[in-house]
Amino acid sequence: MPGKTKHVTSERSADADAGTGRVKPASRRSRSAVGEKLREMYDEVVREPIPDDFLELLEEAEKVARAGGAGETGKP
Amino acid sequence: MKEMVDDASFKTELTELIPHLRAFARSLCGNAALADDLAQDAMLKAWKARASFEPGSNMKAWTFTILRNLFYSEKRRSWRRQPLDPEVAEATLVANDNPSDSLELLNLRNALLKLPDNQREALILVGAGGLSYEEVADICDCAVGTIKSRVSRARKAVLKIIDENGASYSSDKKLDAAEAFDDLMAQVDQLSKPG
Repeated sequence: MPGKTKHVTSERSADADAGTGRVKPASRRSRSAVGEKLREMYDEVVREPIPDDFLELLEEAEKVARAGGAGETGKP
Repeated sequence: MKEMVDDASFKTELTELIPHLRAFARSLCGNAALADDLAQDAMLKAWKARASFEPGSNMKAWTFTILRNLFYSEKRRSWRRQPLDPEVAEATLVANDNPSDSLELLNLRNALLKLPDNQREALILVGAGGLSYEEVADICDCAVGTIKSRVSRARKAVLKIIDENGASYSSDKKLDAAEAFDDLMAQVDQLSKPG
């Protein structure tokens, strides 16, 4: 099994060397799928339209800053 | 006098980052409403702290640091524990998430919930957030090697949970992206090994 293919050596050797990894053959695809799903999960949120309240809050904050920084020193 | 980004361009750049702040917050909180609350706080805090942003540096990493600090801050502890109750979290995730989500995606979400916070955030930031190990290490305030080993452990734990659930990942589509991630993960395996 190890060294079967040359073009994916980095991954192969990583699996072989990992020792504790013992990635089962069936898990190779699972592993790819996990990376894919992880991005899918994240991108799903990224693609959502920005809720209006975010934009309104930022707009408001900018107005305050433009008006001379009042309220900008809200830190304790 | 330190160079500063002017307010207008800062605001534009910050606005572009809102979707990422929401995605990162969602991955930390699980619960969509709480996550948006956290993301909004982080956005406003970033705005107020804009004078300390170094022009030319990565604003995404900078805002993620702010968001993460808020998440772990004393003040936030009470609500951050909420989604970590597995039953509440699962119910919340299933209820709040896109109903078109595949079973595989739900399985991944549930597997992620079972990870320790620090492994989950490392896996998300490296695997999905598009940040370098160095940036993630800065965000999480730890060594690069620590991030690498967290990602590696997280990945193995997720696979184990998914395997135990008997989920089958048979989808062959989009394998290119998946393989790119695999390469990344292989590097993690190699670089996180001692010696």
